[in-house]
Amino acid sequence: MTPPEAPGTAGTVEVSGAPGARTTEAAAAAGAAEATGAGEAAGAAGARGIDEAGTAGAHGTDEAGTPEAPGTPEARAAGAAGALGPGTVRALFRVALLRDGRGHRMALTTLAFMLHQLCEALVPVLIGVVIDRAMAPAGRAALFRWLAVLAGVFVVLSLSYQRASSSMVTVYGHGEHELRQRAMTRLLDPRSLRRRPGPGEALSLVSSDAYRVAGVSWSVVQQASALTAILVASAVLLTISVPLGLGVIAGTVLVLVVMHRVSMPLEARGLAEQSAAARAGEVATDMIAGLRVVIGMGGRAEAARRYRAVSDASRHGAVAASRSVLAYGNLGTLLSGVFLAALTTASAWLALDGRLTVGRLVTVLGLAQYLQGALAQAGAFASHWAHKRASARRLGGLMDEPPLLAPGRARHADPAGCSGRDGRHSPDGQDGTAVRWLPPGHRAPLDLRPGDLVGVVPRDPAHARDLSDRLGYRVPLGRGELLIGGADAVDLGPERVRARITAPPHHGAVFSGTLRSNLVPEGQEPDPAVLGAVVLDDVLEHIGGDRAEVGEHGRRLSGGQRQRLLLARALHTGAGLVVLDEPTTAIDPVTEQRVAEGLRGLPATVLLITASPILLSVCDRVVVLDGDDHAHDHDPKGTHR
Amino acid sequence: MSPEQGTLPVADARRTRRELLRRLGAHRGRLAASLLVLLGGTAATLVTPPVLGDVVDAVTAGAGRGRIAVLGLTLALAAAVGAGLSYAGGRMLAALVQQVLAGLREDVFETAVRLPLNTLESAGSSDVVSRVTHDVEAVSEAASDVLPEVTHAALTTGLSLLGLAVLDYRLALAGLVCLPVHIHAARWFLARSHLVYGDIRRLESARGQLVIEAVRGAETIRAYRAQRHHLDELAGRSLRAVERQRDGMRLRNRFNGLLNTAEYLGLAAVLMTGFVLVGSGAVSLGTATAAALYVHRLFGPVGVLLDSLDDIQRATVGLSRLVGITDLGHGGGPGESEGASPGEGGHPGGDDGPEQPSGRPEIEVRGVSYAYEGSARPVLRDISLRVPAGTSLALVGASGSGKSTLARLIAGLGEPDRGRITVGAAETPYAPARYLVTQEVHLFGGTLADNLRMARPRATDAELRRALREVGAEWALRLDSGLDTVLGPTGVPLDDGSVQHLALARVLLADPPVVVLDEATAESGPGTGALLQAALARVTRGRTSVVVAHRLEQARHADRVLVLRHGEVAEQGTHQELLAAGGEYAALWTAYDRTARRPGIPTARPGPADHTAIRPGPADHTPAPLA
Repeated sequence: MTPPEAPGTAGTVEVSGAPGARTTEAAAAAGAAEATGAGEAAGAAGARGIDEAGTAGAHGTDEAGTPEAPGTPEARAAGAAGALGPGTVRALFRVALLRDGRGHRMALTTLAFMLHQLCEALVPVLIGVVIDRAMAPAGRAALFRWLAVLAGVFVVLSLSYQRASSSMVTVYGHGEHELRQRAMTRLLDPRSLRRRPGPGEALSLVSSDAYRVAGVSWSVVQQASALTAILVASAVLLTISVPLGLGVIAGTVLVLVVMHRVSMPLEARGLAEQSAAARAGEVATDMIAGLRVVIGMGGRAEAARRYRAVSDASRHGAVAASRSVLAYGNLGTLLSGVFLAALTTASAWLALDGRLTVGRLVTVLGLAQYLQGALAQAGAFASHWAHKRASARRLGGLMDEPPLLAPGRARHADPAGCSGRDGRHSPDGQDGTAVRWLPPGHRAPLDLRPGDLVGVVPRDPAHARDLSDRLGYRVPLGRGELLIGGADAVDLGPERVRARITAPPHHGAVFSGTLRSNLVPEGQEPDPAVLGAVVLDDVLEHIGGDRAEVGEHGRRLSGGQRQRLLLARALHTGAGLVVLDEPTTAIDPVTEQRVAEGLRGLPATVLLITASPILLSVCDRVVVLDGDDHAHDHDPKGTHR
Repeated sequence: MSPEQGTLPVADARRTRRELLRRLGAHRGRLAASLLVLLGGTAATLVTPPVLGDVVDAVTAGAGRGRIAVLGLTLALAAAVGAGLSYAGGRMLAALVQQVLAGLREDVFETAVRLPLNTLESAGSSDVVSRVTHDVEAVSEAASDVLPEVTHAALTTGLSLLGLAVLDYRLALAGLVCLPVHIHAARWFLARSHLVYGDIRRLESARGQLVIEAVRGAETIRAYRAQRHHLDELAGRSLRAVERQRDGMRLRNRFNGLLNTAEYLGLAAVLMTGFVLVGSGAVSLGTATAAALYVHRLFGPVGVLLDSLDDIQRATVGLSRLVGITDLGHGGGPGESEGASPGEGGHPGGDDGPEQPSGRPEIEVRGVSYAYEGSARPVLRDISLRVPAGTSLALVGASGSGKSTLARLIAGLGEPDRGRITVGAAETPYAPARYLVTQEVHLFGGTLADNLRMARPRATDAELRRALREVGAEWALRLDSGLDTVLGPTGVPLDDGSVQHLALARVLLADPPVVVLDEATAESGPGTGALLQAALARVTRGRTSVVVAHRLEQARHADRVLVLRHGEVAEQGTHQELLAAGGEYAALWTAYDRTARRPGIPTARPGPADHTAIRPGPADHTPAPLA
């Protein structure tokens, strides 16, 4: 947030960078995320109607925001190696098209779509043939023969389309799935990211960008079919008459060029207008999410007024956008209509000269009419590609983003007694290896022994967040800052540190699902002692047991209930040290008192970062980190607990 | 807090249709005009097949080049007129549809935002949110994308059949052979599609939800090393969605197969009929050609028409949910009583608020009981209290003791089941404005000024700055772009303490005679505590106030303290009286005070205002908007 240089955090990394500089970009990304939220839900039927709102905000302008992580040359090296990696546009398209046997399937699917298109082109040709060979000379046998051929064409047309589209769902669905999983894996990388995208941007990467990059498979088949249509039609026309065929090819190219020229600016305008249209939904969500606050201040009229304003803007945007679409579509109609007229006149003149039979003429006319459709489609191809490449570049930026934290050294392995890879399950994860922590700006290290309940008083909330970020290894640490059982955290790497120290962020997330799923990993039982200690009984009673759903973001719980749930989750990991950053800010004093007593009764080793007198009163020791370069150390009771 | 079930009404099909017709009917002149223009445009392009037929006839008859050129020009002209009229009509229709749509969604929002809090809570806000966002979007999408397509396809189909009939009624009848197959295909598909596509939509929105939660909770997931769990869960949903997509495609394939069959039948029938008629000399070769081309041209629009049936069906469902909400507004539903609610009408910042009664009102609560809908156990039992004019009362109690409920009733949001709450002289027609600062922390989208003006839309910039200064929110005045700084995830993120600071500044802007504070943020740090405490003191000064004490200092600074236990009054009195009484409050305070006075833990040391509230927040910290 604001003062980007929070005092006393010189070694910290400001992940969100300079806020002012990136506002517009982030806004664009968030807009895109909103828009795709709808797209995700609505885009069930296939790849139609992809919203391309995100392209407006060009990314990759993270100059000022990228911090230098001090003392992590490994991270930089890893980053450099990553640059060759999976983030190129081509690599991503390859994932969408070729991986896991998709290449094979994709080739067959494309061929099937081309076959389908070939049959579609043959239908008008056959109509011409029927008229030419059966109707004009009145031959009954010819009629039935050609109708049978037509039936055969229809069968192939229908079956090839069905096979191809079935297979396409698989190619597209799995391609999108894999891209999304890859992007998500990067976003959740244990070593974090040097430049972490904000929630809006991250959402748009995982949803709309992955969606669009995967959509490259649709582009390929659509373009292959349109190309087939044009080639088949031209080939047939060439066999009928060389000048006509050449004329059609020239005309096609001309129409395509004009349509493409026109489509670019129109589309850019359409995008801007689309994002205006999406704003109404954002405001609605915002106001309803804060409805209690709105009602409390008597702001319903103002909320309604604001919605009306944005809805009105949204209406203008939608009307303007539909104008662009209409203009484009009707220009297509006009051009292909003129094309048809020219072709008709020319071929009829040729027929008059006797250089074309009537049936051939009909075939030409049918083909010309059929070409109308294919032409209109082909005009938009270039801009589709532009959008997909832009999305792929954004997604590639995420794939190639270097990690923030050094990986640790494999050989430097485990501190004494902590041999298990996973501290949570290993019996000696709790062997209580002592932790020695040197908070930045302080001389005396803080030793934490098994069973300790230590309070640390931060200067202010920012300081508290910073301390918990360090203990949770969410920011790069200096050598010697944190030692676990004698091993340096930098050598252990973030994963092994987190296995031994549970230090969740202050604003921890509650996930939709059952209360239990938010408490313990699958297959583990909640510990009644912990539940009792954090006074979770009324929460259980309120929502109806630990198998009850807590709602999106835990919305069925009040702020205080959510906070106690988060507290219980932290105490369930069985880590050697649990660091709690202001765990009771939303809890009333009466309950807080009980929680404090409960914490004291638990055997866990706990470090409380808090200014709450109630919590501090139960600590064995209290350390005040007030920035005076020395810590006050207290033993509040003068006794052990 | 109550179960999240959608208990908001949904309009039935007839009511939905009536409402739609009513809204469209308000513009029936424009609607008719735009449809007429579109009809003209379609008719113009449908000149093509007969003209092509004429070309064939002209060639067979050996007409001159001039005749062909005229026909060619006619074709070009038809294309120009068709494109022009379609464009004009499309614009008219789009403007009209968007206007109706905007009216509908504004009505929906306005009704939703004015629903009584009780209705909202028992319905679950997620239902309301999904209606004002997802349903509005579904209907908008259908109206913007599907409607024009369907209109065009319907007109083309209708006129093509007409054109066919004009050419020759026998050819037209032959073309209709495919109709039974079409009807069967549509019925068959519709009966099955909504199940599959409903499933797909549900799976995809659940998947979207998982993505949102994982992105927002990335730090939490890292802290618990729960990546595997979240990725697996996401993969599970997403693969199931793909599976279901394939089921959907299977359905669609059979549907398409039937459509292809119908197309072939229609085309073959017309060709055979043409063969017979040309053979007997009843029609010319050109006419038969035109008929075949008409039928071939129909493939596209008929496919669009049948294909969009599913979209239309879905949009209708969304529409019925929207109409269900607007009906609450003018149907004499519970929404009506809200107009008179003191929380709204008497609000000083409101645009049309009545005159503010002078003086500070007194609050009196007599024998109030309250239970939430569907819950047997009352939250409040026989509560009586009095807050003399201009004084403050602190409510203390454990979670679930009913303090927030009592605060909300005093604020005028909801009526007690039994008992009476009066604020000021009961005879005045308008109760004095009461202002509630809620426990929920919400940062509104937009700029700092937008956030502040929620409470008083017409406040000047100077007034906004003064309010910020008075509550000690100096940090807000120092933001880069001042009052125009965009806040939240797309701009400068704020932590809960800062957001609550803004909420207190809003109270000063609204300047209500009565304020009820239920703000729960107690961010760490002695500096912040003192800052928010000072802001609180500034906000309650000169007003009659009720404060839900989330920090014990709030109780000490209040004129009187009331301790609630299980919905009943346990003790009440001044801070000193309660301490002397040696009850629950005294015990609580003693424990608190002992720690607070320890050297080195300065609880109320005034800290430098600047490094308190503001701090860059990573992904986890941004207050999540309802998705």
